[in-house]
Amino acid sequence: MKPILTVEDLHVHFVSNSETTYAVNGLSIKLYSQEILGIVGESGSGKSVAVKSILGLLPETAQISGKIALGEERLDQLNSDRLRQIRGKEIAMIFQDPMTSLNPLFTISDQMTRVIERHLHLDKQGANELAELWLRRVGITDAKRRLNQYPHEFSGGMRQRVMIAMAMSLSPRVLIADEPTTALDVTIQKQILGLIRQMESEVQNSVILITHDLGVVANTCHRMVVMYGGMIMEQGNVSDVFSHPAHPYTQGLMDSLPSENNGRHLVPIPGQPAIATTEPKLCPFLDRCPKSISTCFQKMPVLTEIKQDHLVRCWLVEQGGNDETI
Amino acid sequence: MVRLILKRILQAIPMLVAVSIISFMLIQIAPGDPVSAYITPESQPADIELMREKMGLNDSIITQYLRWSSSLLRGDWGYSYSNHRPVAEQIVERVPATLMLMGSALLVSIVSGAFLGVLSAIKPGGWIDRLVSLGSNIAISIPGFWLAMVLLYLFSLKLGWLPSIGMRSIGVNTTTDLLKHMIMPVIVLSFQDTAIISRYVRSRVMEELKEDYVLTEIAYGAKKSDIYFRSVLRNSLLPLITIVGMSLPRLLSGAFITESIFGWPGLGQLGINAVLRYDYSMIMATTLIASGLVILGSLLADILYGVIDPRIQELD
Amino acid sequence: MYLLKRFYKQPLSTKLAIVTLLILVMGAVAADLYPADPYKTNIANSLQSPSWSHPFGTDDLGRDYFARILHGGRATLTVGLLSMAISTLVGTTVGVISGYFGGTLDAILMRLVDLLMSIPSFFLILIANAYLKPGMQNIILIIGLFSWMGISRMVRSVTISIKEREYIQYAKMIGNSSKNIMLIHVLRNVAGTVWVAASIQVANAILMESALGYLGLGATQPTASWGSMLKKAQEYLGSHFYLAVFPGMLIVITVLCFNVIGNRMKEGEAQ
Repeated sequence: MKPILTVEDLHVHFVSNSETTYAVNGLSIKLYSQEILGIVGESGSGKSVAVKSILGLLPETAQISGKIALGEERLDQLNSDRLRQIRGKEIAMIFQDPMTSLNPLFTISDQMTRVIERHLHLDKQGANELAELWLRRVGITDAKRRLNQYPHEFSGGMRQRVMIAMAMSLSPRVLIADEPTTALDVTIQKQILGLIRQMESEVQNSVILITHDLGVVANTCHRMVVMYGGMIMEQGNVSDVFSHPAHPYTQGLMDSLPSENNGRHLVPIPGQPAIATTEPKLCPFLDRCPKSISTCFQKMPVLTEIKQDHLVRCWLVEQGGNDETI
Repeated sequence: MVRLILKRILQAIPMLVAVSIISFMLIQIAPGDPVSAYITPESQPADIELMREKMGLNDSIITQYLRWSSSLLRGDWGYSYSNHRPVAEQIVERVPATLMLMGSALLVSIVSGAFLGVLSAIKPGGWIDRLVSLGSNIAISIPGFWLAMVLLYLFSLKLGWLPSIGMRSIGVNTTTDLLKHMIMPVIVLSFQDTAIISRYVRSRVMEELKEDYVLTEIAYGAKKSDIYFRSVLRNSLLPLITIVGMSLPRLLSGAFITESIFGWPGLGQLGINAVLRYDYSMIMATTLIASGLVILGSLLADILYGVIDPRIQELD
Repeated sequence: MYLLKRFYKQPLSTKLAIVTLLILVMGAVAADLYPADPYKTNIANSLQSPSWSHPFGTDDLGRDYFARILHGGRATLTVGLLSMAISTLVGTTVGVISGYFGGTLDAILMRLVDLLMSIPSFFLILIANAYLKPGMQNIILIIGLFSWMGISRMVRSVTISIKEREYIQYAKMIGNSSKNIMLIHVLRNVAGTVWVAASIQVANAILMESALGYLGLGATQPTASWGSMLKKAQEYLGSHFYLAVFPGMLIVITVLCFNVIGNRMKEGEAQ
C-alpha cells in the first residue's frame, strides 16, 4: 500500500548566534490512508517541530533537510503559491491551545468562511452554509447563531470543536492534530478525541495525532511512534507496542501512566529530556536509561524490526534479546 | 457596555470642572484690572467702584466662579475685548475648521503611520525598516512651523502650486480649492503623528505576529499580505485608539501654531491672536474649549475601544 | 577612559549624535571667540548672501548671521538644558513621592497630572508667557514647569515596581526613614528612566522654545535664539531663503541628536 504522507530522513536544526539545537534528527514516518497515527513524546522530543515542518510552519531560523511528500508531490520543494494551496486544503492542522489559535477580533464565521472561500472557491453564502453545516456536524448546537459569535464566547472545548470544523470543512487528506486536548480538562478531552475518531471514519482521511499522553494514543490511534531527542525510539501497531513495549523509554512512559487494570504504582522516568546542542552520536535516552549496557556508550543504535511492523531503536534488542527478556 | 460609557462620562465631568476652574483662574491672575477696559479719563473713583460692583468683582472668588460658570452653561461666554463680538459666537464659527484640519491630519497620520509601521515590521532590520526609522526620527525632530516655512517656500513661493494662506480663495467655493488649501497644513500637522504611529504599529505588529492565531492563518494557506494587512493590522490598531486619544493634546497644540502660520480660520488662530492681544475672555474660552475637546476626544477613544473590541462588550 | 570605551561600543548613529552635540555645545560655549559681533548692525551690508567674509550671510540689519547663529545656539541650548533640569527635577520628585507613598497622595497627584496633560501644553505655556515679562529666565521656568507631567508618570510606574522588591522592604524593616530609602534606593533605580526622559525632554524643550520664539514670545531683541531668528526669516522667505535654512536645520539636527541619544538609552534600559 502506498503511503499518503511520507517523511524521510528529516533533520531540523535551529541556528542562533550562540548555538545550534538539533530538534529533529533523521526522522522517517509513513502515514497510510484511513489511519490514525499517534506520535508520542515528552515536550522537547521534536514531535511538534517535525509536523510543523511538513507544512513549512517553522520560523526562518529553522534549517530543514530531508524529504517530505504528499502522495507523489514533494512538499519540501514546492513554491509558496502551491504550498498555500496545500495548507488547509490537503493537510489541515489543529493546534494545542484553542484559546489562542483563533483571532479574537473576528467572528467564527469570518474566520471559517475566509478559509472556505479561499480553498473551495465558494461564494460568501455558500461558504457560510458549509461552515454552519460543519459546526453542526462537530456537535455545536444553535450553529447559525454561534457562527456570528467571537471566539471568546466559546468555551475551550467548543473552540476546539470549531477548529475541527474549520479543518474538516475543507475535507483534507491529512489532519494533523498537535496536542489537541492538552489544554482541555479530562471529560472534554474524551469528547474531542471521540470527535476526531468519528470525523476520521466519516471523511475517510488520515490523522496524525501528536500527544505526550500514552492514554490518548491507546484509545484513539491505530499505529504509534514514540519519539525522543528528535528520533524514533519505537514504532508499531498500538496493540503491539502496548502489549510488548520494547524500548526502555516506552516502558518508562507506560510505568508512569496511571492505569486502572494492573494496579501498578506510578513510576516517573527520572530526569528531564535534554535538548541536544551537538549532533547526537549516541542514543539520546542514554543518560536517563535504567538499562544501559556498554554498547550504548559506543555507538548509536539503529531502528530494528523485532516483529512485523514493530521497530525499536535500542542495543538491548539488537543484541539478540527479545522483548520478554528485557 | 452602557455602564462602561456612563462610567467614563462620569469620570470626565470632574475633569471638565477642574479645567473650567483653571481657565477661570487664568483671568483672575492675569495682570491688569478688568475694569480698566471701561475706564475713561473722566471716570470718578465712585463710578469705578460702581462699575466694580456692577461687574460683581467685589464678590468672593467662589461666587464669581459660580456666576461665571453658570453663565457659561447658559451659553453666555462674554465679549471679546479686541472686536467686541460675543466669544461664544466666534468660537462656534471656528470649531469646525479646526476639527476638519485635525480630523484630516489624524486620518492621514493613522493611515500612513499604520502602513509604514506594518511595512517595517515585515522585515525588522531590513532596509525599509531602517529607512522608516530614520524618517520617523527626523520627523519628530522637525519643528512644525519650520516645516511649514519650507513647504510654503517650495510649493507657494517657488513653484506656485499651492495657495499659501487661508481656507478658501476669495469668491471660490469648490472642494478642490478647499483641498488645495488643506494640503500643506495637513502635512505639517500629521507629520509627527505619522512618525509616532508608525513606530507604535511596528512594535505592536511584531508582538502580534508571535500570536498563535497567526500560525493558524498560515497553516490554512493565508497570504502574507492578508495576514499583515487584514488580521494583524486590525489587532494592532485596536490599542492605537488609545494612543491617538492620548496624542490629542499634542495635536491640538500643533494645530494652534499650524493654523496661525497658514492663516487657517480655526480655534488655534483665534487663541494665539487672543494671547498676543491679551484678550482674556477669549483666552479663557479657547483654553476651555481646547481642553474640553481633548477630554471629549479621549472619552470617545475609550468608548470606541469598547465598541470595537468584542471582548469588552462581554465584560459588562 | 571608561567613557571612551563606552562611546566606542555605541552604534554609528549614536556616535554621530554625540559628536555633533559636542560640536554644537562647543560652538555655543565659544561663541565669543568668533570675531564678528552678533549685535553690530550695518545697514549698508544687509541681507548679504553667504560669502567668505560672512559664511552664513547677513540679516536684515547687516549683522553677521554666523555669529548670530552661534549666539542663538547658546540661547537655545541654555533654554533646552535648564528647562529640562527643572522639569526633570519636578517630574522625578512628584513621580517618586507619588509612587512610593501611594494612596490618597498618589491619587491626588496623578489626577493633577491628568488634568495638566489634558490642557494642550503649548497653549498653557503661551498664556503664561504672555502674562509674564518676556525674557530668558521666564521662558526657562515656564517650559520647565509645564512639561514635567510625562516624566512623573514614567518615574512613578518604575517606583511602584521596585518598591516591593526585597531589599527595599528590608531597608524599611531595619528602620531606614522613607526619605533615605527614596534618596538612596529608589532614585538609583529610577535613574535610567530619568536619563532617557531628560534627553527627550531637552529635545522637546528646544522645539517648544523655538515655537515660542517664532511667535515672538521667546528671547527679546537683540538677543536671538534659533526660533526667534526664524520669525525674522519668515519675512524674507521668498527672497532670502537661506535665513530660514540655517537656524531651522540646526534646530532639526540638535533635536535629532537628543532624540537619537534618548532612544539609544531607552534600548539600553530595556536590555
